[in-house]
Order: sequence, then structure tokens, then C-alpha cells
Amino acid sequence: MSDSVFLDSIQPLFQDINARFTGQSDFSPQAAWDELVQSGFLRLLLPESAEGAGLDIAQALPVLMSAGYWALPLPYVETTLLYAALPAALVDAPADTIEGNLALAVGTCGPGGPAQPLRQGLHWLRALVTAKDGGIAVVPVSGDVEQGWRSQGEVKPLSQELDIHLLGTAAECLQLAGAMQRVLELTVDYANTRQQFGRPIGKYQALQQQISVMTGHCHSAVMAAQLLAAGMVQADSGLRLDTPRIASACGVIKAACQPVVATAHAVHGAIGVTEEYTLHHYTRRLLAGRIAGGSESCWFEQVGRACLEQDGRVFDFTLAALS
Amino acid sequence: MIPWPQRQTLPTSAEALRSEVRAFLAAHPPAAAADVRARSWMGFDAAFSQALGQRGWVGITLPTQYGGGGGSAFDRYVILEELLAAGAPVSAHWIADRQSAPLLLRFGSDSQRRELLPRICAGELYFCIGMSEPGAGSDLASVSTRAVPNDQGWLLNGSKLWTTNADRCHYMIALARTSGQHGDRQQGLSQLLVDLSLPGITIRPIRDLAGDAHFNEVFFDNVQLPHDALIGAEGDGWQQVTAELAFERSGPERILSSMALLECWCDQLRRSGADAGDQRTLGELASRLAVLRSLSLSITAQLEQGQSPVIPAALVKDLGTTFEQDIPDRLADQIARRGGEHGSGELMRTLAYTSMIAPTYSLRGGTREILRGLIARGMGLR
Ligand SMILES: Cc1cc2nc3c(=O)[nH]c(=O)nc-3n(C[C@H](O)[C@H](O)[C@H](O)COP(=O)(O)OP(=O)(O)OC[C@H]3O[C@@H](n4cnc5c(N)ncnc54)[C@H](O)[C@@H]3O)c2cc1C
Repeated sequence: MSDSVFLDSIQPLFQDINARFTGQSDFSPQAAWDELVQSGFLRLLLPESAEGAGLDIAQALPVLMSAGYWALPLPYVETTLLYAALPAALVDAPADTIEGNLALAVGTCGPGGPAQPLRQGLHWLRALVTAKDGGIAVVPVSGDVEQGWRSQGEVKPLSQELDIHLLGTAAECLQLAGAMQRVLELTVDYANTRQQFGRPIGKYQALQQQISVMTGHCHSAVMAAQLLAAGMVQADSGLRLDTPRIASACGVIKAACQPVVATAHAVHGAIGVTEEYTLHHYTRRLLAGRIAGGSESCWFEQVGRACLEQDGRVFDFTLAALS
Repeated sequence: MIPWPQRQTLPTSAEALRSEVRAFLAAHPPAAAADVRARSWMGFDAAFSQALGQRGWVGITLPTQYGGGGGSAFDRYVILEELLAAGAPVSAHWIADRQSAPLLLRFGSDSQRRELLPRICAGELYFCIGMSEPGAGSDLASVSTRAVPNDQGWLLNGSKLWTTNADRCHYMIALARTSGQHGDRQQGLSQLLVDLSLPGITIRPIRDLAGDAHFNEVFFDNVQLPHDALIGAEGDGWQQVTAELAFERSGPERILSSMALLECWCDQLRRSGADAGDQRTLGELASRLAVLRSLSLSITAQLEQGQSPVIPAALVKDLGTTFEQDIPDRLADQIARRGGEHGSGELMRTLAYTSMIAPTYSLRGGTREILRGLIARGMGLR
């Protein structure tokens, strides 16, 4: 099967969950999550021997970005990537355990205290993978999006090593890139539809030039997502994360969020700030995602340090470590 | 909508050229001073171009029957990015290699191709582009230079402006009116091959704000051109110029123009230490460079597949020239952040030069606003 076959088969479910979520009526996060579990797509990145689809991250990228495109309020991408990263710890857990129920995200928490997923606005969650005692651990959580999440139950340390903060930020950024694709499409459609002074507003050069700049940001983000995917290499033991490559791609994606939001709203006029129109779901997602796990400056600083630590040219560093 | 970009890595055959180009550059080293290397594709050095031609690296994608290298667009990409990253002086053969040779290959007569292309590929024959005029910049269809047919060929009158290297090269490919009236716009224009040694041609260099003279004013006073000066068909000039626009490949030349400055600054940071602000700026620029280069390679992949990605190339060019302009802007701010200048003489000279020339990045070859108009068309807005 080619990558687009996977996308085509899951996209209707993503779209349906999006419609229920943005329609505000009878959205059940648990029901939506169960549908995702049943789809089998949480095992997208696992080998066929583990009942997975056996895709690598680059092949799975259209599906992962599509979760952002449809503003999925569930930790689908997070869980899928954590599954791929920590197969020994998470795969094949009995269904009545926390791991078996999945719905994992990266975050921080103290015992019995508030649990803070890296990603904001999650409507469903069963456990966080967090840094603990120099290693990582799975912490069961309960709560909801309104009240917030609290850790509850037994913390399970994992023997595997993983930079979960990097993984969590990467998961977020892949979705942000997908969200920006949707926002650009909404904006172009609106510019071609809305009429003022007797013409579609997209015919005015001032808006054309702004949308052209926005297109550049969105294309950069989509390319950065592909570089990000190339920085996650699958091995038998899980995912090997290539820090500078992922950090630089995350920085570029995060840096695009604010200007994309600004132009989308400028073009939409007042309708864009209504509850009814879908843009605000993406605005919230992009603005929160930009700062989740650290803003672009935080990630660019890491890249700058990595560049200064070696002694070749910036150009050579870019070719070898970021491209 | 413009199709979303697809990442493309370099084929190993092209990647293998990298070490060969580096060895060549070690044998023909570009200037040591960063402010000289910063001039790279403005740096005219015929001996360097000839050495490159002998190595087979001018006209690398042209067919071997015309002296070309028969290589891929990816081969060309690697060679160009290595030359530009090193700040090699590529200006002499640049326009012929990038624009004139592909134009002649596509529209030229067989004798034009046989006579001119092998000498271009040898790095010996240099070209300039005669499009802009005093009254015709972005609005190229308003050119008023005229070539009137007569029994010996074409009689050329008028003038061209901003013609890069006209004073140092052999031929101009000029866009001129060959039929109809001024005001007929796209109708009645043709491209003509002008031997710049002919009588009646006056070339006056124009000094730029950095003190360099790379572009010129060119006057034609009853210049008699032969019949076979015509390139392609009479009246097809507009279509040909539009096709020439497709040779805008948004390659490394739209990304690397300010690299000498960035490298010079990074060297200084390694010597004198970097704080978080320096690291952030360096990291941002390196990250944008990586993404841009991948976008640019995705255009090369489309060219290699025989497509003509004019609008995606305009998008990448807009992003690339913005990046090239942001480098001197951001570095001026970083270097002088602590009050006063904090840079070596070489760094400050490179900064001064790059800052002054950076505004041209988004003018040459079509302005930013015109490019954004193309992008808007690609997005279905016009
Ligand atoms: C370093 C350098 C080298 C060059 N080399 C060559 C060369 O070798 N051969 C050659 O032929 N030319 C050359 N040029 C000329 C270059 O192609 C022109 O500068 C360019 O096409 C713009 O024309 P102009 O300068 O007359 O500006 P104008 O066209 O007058 O533009 C001025 C401003 O108006 C804007 N504008 C114009 N029309 C529109 C519109 N429809 N909508 C919105 N905004 C608009 C422009 O974007 C720009 O901001 C060179 C220029 C430079 C700077």
C-alpha cells in the first residue's frame, strides 16, 4: 500500500471527529478515542509482527499531519509516536492496564499533584510519559480538559531512554504543520468567496501579497515537517531522535505559527473571530502549540549551540546535521 | 493552490561531485577576505571561469554534442552550491550558463547553437541580458528599443539599462520591438543576439552604492545586425522571455548570497564566545537555510522531471531572497547589540558590503512584489 492509501482510509474518521468536535454537539472524547483505537492506526509505526502497519515516519507523515489538519483534540499523534519510540514498554500491554488503554502524551507531573501535558487542550488522556529520576516513567492521570489532569495511581518507571521533551515537541510540531495547511486552504477559499466593492476580496493586491507571504510560511512549515520526520529514525529498540535536525525543524514550524494566524484573521475579517466559524480552533491550536515545549527561540538556541560546538562552516553543519 | 513541496534528497551520483568541487576549489582558491568572497556572483574572473569550463562544469546540463556535460539538474545544484558557499567568483560565465545557453538551446538556430554553445561551455564566451530599459522595468512589455529589418538584417536603435556585465562580455541577448508600434505591448517583440563589439554601441558602467560597477547603460545608435541575429521567430520575443523566466530555478544563488557574512560572523563567535542571543540568531538562520535548501531541491527535482515549476520557483525565490536579506539585518543588530561595533575589521567590512547590496536581492530578476503576484496567481487568487 502506498502512503496515500493509509491517509485515504483514516481521513474520513479524522474528518468525522473534527465535525463532531467543532459542531459542539454530542462530542464524546472517549467514543472518538475508541474509534481511533479500533481503526488500528495507533499501530501505524509498529512492525507487522506487532500487528502494526510497518510504516516509517516519512511514510506515516501524511497521516500524522492530517491529525493536525483536522484539529484532532485527542493525543493520536503523541500516542502513535510514543508507541513507536517505546515498543518494549508500551506494546502488548493487557487492555485493562493503563498502557493498554493508551491515550498517552508527554508531560510533567508530581505525585498526587496536577499533571501538565506538553500539549494544551487535550480532551482525552489516560497517562503521561514523563521524565523521572533521570529516566522516564508512565504516570496514570485522570481528569478532563475543563478541570485539568491529575496524576493518579502507580507510577511505572521505564527502562528505556528517550528524550521525551523532544519527542513531545516534535509530535506537536507535525500537527501544527498540518494545521497550517488547513488554515491556508480556509484563507484562500474565503478570499475567493467573500465579495466587497463588487469583487472577491482576493482580487485586491494588498490581500494577494499578504496571502503570498503566508503561503511561504506554510510551505516552509510543511518542508520542515518532512525534515523533522527524517530526524526520527526507527530501530528495533524504538526511535532514535536526531536532536539538531528535529530542533531546527520545530523552530521553523513554531516561527511560522504567529504570522500565519495573523494573516488568516486579517483576511477573514469579523467572521474569523466567531465561535461558529472553524478558524478559531486552529488559532487556539497554533498559538498554544507555538509555545508548548518551548518557543522557536528555545529551539533555535539549541541549534546555534550545536553549530558552534563543531568547527566547520555553517553551510557544512546545515548539510550534515539539519538537511 | 500551489502543490505542497515534497522533500527530495540528492542522488548519490550528484552528492559524489561535492568532494571533486572542493578539491577544485582547493586548487583554485577564492579570495581569502570575506568581503571579497561576499561578491561571489558579482565577482568577474575569466581565468576562474575557463578553469571551471575545462573541468566540464560550465553548461553541465547541456547536451554533450554542444560541449555540455550531459549532467543532471542535481549535478548542477551541487556544483553551484559548493562554488557559492565558497564565495568563488562565478560572475563571468554565470548568465551564459544559467540563462543564455538554455535559451539558445531551446530557441536558437542550429548554427547559433553549434557556434555559441561549445564556447559557453568552455567558460570562454560571456553573455548579458538586455531586457530592462529606462521606461521598462517590471513592465517589460513596454520596451522601446527597436530593430528594423533591412537588406543586411536588422538596424538596432535604443538603449538598455542595468545590464549586468555588458562592459565585460561578448554578447547581449536583447529584447526589442521588431514590428508594430510602441504600445502594442507583447505583440511584435523579438530577441536578438547582439555582438557587443559592433560599431554604434556605447556602454557606460554604472557605479552601485557599494562602489562597484557591475551593471551598465548600453546605447544602440544604428547598430547593423546580421539576419541571423534573430533568435527564434520574429514576434515571439514575449513568449521566449516568459520561457526564459522558467530558467529561474530558485537554486543556491537565491539562498547563499549572504553566506560569506554569516560564516565570518560564526568564526568570530567561535573565537570570542557566544551568548544565548547569538546562539538563537545563528540557530534560526541555519534552520531556515536547511528548510530553504530542501525547498530549492524540490524545485530542482521538478526540473529534472521535465516540468517547468515557474510559480513554485517564485515562491522559493521570495523566501530565499528574504532570508538573504535577513542575514545582514539580524547580524547588524547582533554584532552591535552591546553598544558600539563588536566585530573585526573584516567582519565589519563584510557586513557593510552585504547590507548595502542586500536590497538588490529582491529586485534583480523580477521584484518581490511581482513574484508575490505570481504566487497569488498560483494560489488561484488572480
Ligand atoms: C543588481 C541588479 C542587476 C540587474 N541586472 C539586470 C540585467 O542584467 N539585465 C536586465 O535586463 N535587467 C537587470 N536588472 C534590472 C531588474 O530586472 C529591474 O530592476 C527589475 O525588473 C525592476 O525594474 P525597475 O528597477 O525599473 O523597478 P520598477 O519596475 O519601476 O519597480 C519599482 C517598484 O514598483 C513595484 N511595482 C512595479 N510594478 C508593480 C505592479 N504591477 N504591482 C505592484 N508593484 C509593482 C516594484 O515591485 C518595485 O517595488 C538588474 C537590477 C539589479 C538591481
